[in-house]
Amino acid sequence: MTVVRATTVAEAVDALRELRGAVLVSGGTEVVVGLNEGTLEAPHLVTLRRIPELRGVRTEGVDIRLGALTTYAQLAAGTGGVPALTAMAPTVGSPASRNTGTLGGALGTGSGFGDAVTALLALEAEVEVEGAAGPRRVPVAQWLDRTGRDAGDLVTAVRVPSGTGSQHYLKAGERQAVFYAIASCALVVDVAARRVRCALGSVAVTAVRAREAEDLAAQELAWEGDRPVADADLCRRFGDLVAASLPEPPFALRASAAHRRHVAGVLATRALTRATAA
Amino acid sequence: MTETEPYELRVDGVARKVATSGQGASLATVLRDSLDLPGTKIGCGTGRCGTCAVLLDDVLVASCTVLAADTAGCEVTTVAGLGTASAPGPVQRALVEAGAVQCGYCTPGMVVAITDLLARIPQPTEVEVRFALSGNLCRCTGYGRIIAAVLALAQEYA
Repeated sequence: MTVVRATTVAEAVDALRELRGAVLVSGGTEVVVGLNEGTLEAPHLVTLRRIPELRGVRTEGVDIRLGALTTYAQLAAGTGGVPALTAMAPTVGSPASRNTGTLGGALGTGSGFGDAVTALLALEAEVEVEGAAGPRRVPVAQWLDRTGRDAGDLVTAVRVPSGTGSQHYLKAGERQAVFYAIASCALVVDVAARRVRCALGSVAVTAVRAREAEDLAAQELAWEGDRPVADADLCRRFGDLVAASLPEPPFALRASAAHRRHVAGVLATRALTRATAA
Repeated sequence: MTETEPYELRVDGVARKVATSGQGASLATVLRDSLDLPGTKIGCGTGRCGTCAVLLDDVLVASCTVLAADTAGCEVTTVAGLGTASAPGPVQRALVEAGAVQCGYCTPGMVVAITDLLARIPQPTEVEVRFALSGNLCRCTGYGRIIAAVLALAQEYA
């Protein structure tokens, strides 16, 4: 096994191309566990944490650009100032794993339905990628469904449009720490579009947008300045529609499909209630 | 291109050379098997139980999820660097005095996580202690005496 401790993005991309089957390692919370358990075959590893270009957060125009090595601990401490990510991060793993796990890792090796990607989907984030043909940006939805992903891609950053509306992240599981979600819900108020964007995690093979419920909210929400207004009945119907419109959950891990669907609806009702609270 | 082996890191203040870390071994495995430091335990091997906790460049990590070869040049602090049986460190002494150890398997990780907590938050509330130790599973004590030990130790420094 060769371990390349890359110090530049170019070095990492070259190593990915030259070493057949090479696997990228960011924080290691997924790759090293796979190696421990023998579920991941990696003839070569390319480690990323010594690459300064992948660190740091900055504002570019209306976007907040979060480097791929941004950790959950940094997000939980408010780094980037993206409320949905600040709320999401402390629900992930343990304090120690939040110190090592990264946004880039969640996108690069993640399952597609975890906490970070669910929040990023509701945020309509873009994934910055360095690939064989140079840099490009991929909407996170196309990254998750893999239509925008190529072998040899390296996630360099995530871009999140800054917004003035409130953002929420709710997660339900079997305990209150170090747990996977039975369902999670990210809700972002898009003031300019007079809409809310809602994504659900752990209910399908990738995080999913609740388009029908978003449309219901767009039709029926009232607005007081930048704040959407809804009564309890609308919040309830919003959550019910989220639950009813979900695809059949393809796994029964930790919870039955019916329970998972129910929990997703409850979380969506709760998220819209919070977003519309005075 | 950098081959993985051999490489050096500092563990508990001592420069150590790792001749090989096998097929992508974790830091926990290398500490225990290559460097003969069995104080750091491996529980779940998936980063969820906390007994393998160490400080990596002063940051709390689960060493079973850290690629050992990627720690070349780093400073690692294990439970063995925080006191010995004959000269326990303050956290170890506080745990003993509070009767916070039963089977002891979680204790190395607890000692490291508590050390990290008190370095960041010298006077934590009980909620802050529970949150800081939320990644350290103990199946014996019910956590009560562990939390009491941390609060008592913080009290000494108040």
